[in-house]
Amino acid sequence: MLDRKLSRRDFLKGVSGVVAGGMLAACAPPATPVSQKPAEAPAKSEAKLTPIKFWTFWGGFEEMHEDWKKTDAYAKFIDGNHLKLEITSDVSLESFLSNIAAGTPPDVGVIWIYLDLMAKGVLTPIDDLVAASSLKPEEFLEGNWKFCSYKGKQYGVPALEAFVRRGLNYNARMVEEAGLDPDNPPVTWDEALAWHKALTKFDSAGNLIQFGLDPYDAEGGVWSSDGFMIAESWGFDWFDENTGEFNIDNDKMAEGLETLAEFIRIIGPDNLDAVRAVAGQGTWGGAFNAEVQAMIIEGYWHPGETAHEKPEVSKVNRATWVPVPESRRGTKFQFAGGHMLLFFKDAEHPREAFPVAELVNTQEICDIIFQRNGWLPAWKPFLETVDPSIYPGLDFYFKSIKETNEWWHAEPCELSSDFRQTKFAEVREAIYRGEMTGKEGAKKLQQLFEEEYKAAGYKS
Amino acid sequence: MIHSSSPTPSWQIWTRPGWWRKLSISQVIVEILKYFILITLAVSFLLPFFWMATSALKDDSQVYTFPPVWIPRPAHWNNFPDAWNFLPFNLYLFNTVVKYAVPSTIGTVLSSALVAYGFARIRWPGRDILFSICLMTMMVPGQVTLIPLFITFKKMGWVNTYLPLVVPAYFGNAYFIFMLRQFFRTIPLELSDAARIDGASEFAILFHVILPLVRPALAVVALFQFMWTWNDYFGPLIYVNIRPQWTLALGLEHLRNQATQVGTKVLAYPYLMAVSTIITLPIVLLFFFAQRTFIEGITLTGMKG
Amino acid sequence: MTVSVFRGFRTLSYRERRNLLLGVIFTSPWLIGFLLWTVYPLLAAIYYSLTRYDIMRPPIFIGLKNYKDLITSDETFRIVMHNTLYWVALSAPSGVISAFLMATLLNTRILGRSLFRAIFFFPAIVPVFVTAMVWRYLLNIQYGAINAVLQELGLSTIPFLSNPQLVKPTLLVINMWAQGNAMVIFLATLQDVPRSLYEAATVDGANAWHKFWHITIPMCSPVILFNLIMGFIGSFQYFTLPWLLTQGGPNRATEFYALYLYRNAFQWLRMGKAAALAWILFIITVVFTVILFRTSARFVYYASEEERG
Repeated sequence: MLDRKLSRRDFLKGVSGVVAGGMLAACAPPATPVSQKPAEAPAKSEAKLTPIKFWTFWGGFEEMHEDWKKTDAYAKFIDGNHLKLEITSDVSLESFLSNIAAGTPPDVGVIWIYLDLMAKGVLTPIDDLVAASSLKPEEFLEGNWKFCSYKGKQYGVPALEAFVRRGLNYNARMVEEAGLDPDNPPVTWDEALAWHKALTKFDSAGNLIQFGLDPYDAEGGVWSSDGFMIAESWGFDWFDENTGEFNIDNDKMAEGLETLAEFIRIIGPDNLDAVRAVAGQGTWGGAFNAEVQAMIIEGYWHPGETAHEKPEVSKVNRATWVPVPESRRGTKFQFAGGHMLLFFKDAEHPREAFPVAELVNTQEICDIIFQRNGWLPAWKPFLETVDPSIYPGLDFYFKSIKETNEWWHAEPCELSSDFRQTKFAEVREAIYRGEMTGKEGAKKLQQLFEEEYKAAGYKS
Repeated sequence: MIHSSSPTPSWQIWTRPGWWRKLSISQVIVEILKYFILITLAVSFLLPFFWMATSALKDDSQVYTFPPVWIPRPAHWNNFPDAWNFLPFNLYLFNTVVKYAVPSTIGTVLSSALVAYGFARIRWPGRDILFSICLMTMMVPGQVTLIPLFITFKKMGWVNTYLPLVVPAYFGNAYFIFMLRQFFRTIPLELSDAARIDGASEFAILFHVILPLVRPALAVVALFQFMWTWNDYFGPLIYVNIRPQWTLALGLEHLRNQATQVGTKVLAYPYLMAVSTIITLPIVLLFFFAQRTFIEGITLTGMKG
Repeated sequence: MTVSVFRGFRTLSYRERRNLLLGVIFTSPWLIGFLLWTVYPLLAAIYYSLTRYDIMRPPIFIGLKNYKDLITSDETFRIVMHNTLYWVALSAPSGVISAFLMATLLNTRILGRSLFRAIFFFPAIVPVFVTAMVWRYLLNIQYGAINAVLQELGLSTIPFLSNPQLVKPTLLVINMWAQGNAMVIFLATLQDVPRSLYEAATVDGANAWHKFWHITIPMCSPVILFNLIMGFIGSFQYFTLPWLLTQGGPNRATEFYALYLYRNAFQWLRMGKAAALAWILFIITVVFTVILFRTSARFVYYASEEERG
């Protein structure tokens, strides 16, 4: 749909990739007679190859697949296992669910409703396959690896886009202009609010010109497999997987909702909605790129994407820890989560498809993905080879995995993440529009989630 | 024309020589008002196209400028061929027209006219109940029938072909059946009665008496069906979502995904607008040149009312 | 007339039997298509509405619980109903009036009529998501072309799409603007109005207003009814534009029925509840349509009115 929020891709590289492909194709005809014989040999063995259907909700993987094919890793895992990879990207949820219902899912896929898929029994457990493979769980960021299991069984392998997701990025030029010190970024929400006030400006007719931080923009506003920033910052577990109890109706949540609402009241709620929907700027982070928003809570991809989209903004981009309340001063929290490959039990060859998980966590493939899309995996051996200085702000994220004193990972709550997301957005808007207090909002969410959890059949 | 001797209606007065001398003040005011409204509306209708077409000529910096740039300088005319070749849009054009739009338009016009005739001009027991059911099928939101329908087509082995999109068009479309029925009912019954007395069969009446009279309505059906299949995104998305089978709308959607997401890189937005412009133009031209045949093609002048 | 269905085939006269056969033959394409591709999905949707169905696992029968929950305890459903009834009541009539006036205007003798018609039809041709992007571009409070002008002039901007009070009127205007389809249907209808009627009226000294009111409108009334009913059905299922423009916001002011249904079906995996929503919507639409048809006898004029003879 309009903001398939986790999709990001390197269009520029895509363009040059296609152009290069076109040029190769143009050069191909004279070479055809020579290459004909070798081309026939694989065609014969093609009959024995196991076709693997690989679906992604992102687009652009068909093109990237062409690059993968040129690597040794591809030869080892795909050709070596006599597999034939058929990639379909840009898969819509409607199309995916129709196929699930009709009993024709893909063998392997990246479809972002991970926990739904695990909890509803459409996947095949892969513990034995992992044990027999070249993958070592300890080589992955712990939070990511854990998030791929449900009720003691492993279902997924972190892949493609799975690095850390918490950082307060700020525009040092705007900060300096507002008379603030970019070397001393805010640590608590009170300090962040002071920056926000200093950075928010209106013209003489009362129109918003620029603002400090929309705390609900980007990663600050999600409540999905990307985590839930309020719970992490204020420090509470909003769900207990053992008892199935929600812990949302609490003072910390209420305080969090009130604190963040204040940021938006200063901007003006009507102004904010429009800022989020800037035409042509994307729906996420557009205001930061346009230098209308000075601060944004974003994942590791922000420095790289900004560098591609707005190089001049990227040059003044810096990143630091996401603020915490005064009572938790000194807490430096980070979140590991993200995407994974899953294997569908009703498919024709889900178990045979496992080498795909090994393939996408190799040096060569990770490098192609990083080069083309700027994405990083949760696989540490590759992360160690990345030079974080290429994008201003990226070094913070690399440092953070060593310096953090509080790791968070996605709560294994089966409640539909889209449901969580929509209800959270509704309640927080009611609060910053003054129709509800933070306490009432926390209570409302607790009640809504409990009801839905029961209605979906997870708890009687 | 039987009315050559009748007084010229006021709205026709300007067709006569020296018309301006005969105009009264109030007529002048009405004329001025009319053109004022027309031109204001026309500007509002053209604005999106203008914006679309000029956005297609921009480069990245011109897209993201504030305040907005309406006419980019320099204009990047190359965006049109570049965008068209960025994806295999020639193939998508072929798929859209040959595999989808044309066969489904033919089917819809024929079957809907036939069914509408059965509902409008033959009186038979059970007709009104069936017609009500036909209407009601439009009132169930497609979101809940999507999955059972998909399963049906899957069982028929039609998924990843154009059959689920084209074949049902040959079995009538409730919207057009209803529309044609309303048009058929504006035609006096005496016409078909006269033909019946002359021994004409119902098929002959439909094809020789009724259809020639509702040619404008048939043209509307054809135009709409063509236009909808031309722009249809959801049907192909569900049933033929493999790249070599993509339609123009799917290709366009692919560009849109690139243009509206974070991580958008140069030219996604202008490319999207360039392709939108290119695929909108044929329909505009079709409408412009074909409107005579269906809006002015036939009048019932001289027929008794 | 419908009573005769139950009378049995044998008691029908030859003429009635012949007509029944002909009627079935002419409508058979639709009948066959209906049996092949409509009946099963409809029955399946009825069954889903009585179950808890998350698409991935088989449905679990729970009786009328989905309906009961929606009507008694779902507060979003109440907001959605309110938004939808507001939208239906205002958008369908205003859309039809707008289309009819545009068609009438374009049916008069004006210079460049063909060109004007093509221009007025334009919004119906452009893919909806492009239209949505255009409106967003024009109406955005921060970057919109309209507000940019206001800002330049030192005036305060108008939050067309971001204020809960303003957003519905904004959508109403957009809806009146995008009536190309209905307008074309009206244009085709206006051609069917016999010229002789106008000429006779002119001879009798009727002015333009009289002719419009007493000839044009009655002669077009079957098609007005058609567009009105399609407008109602369409506005009950209004989805694409609000989904693309506002996603139901701000503050749920544009959370219309079809948006809520879509969220339930494909985002929250509550297909059972979505099916219940669909059937409630279906019943409301049917009731609306039946009332319209019943009352339409008073204002719709059919030249082929069979009952009169």
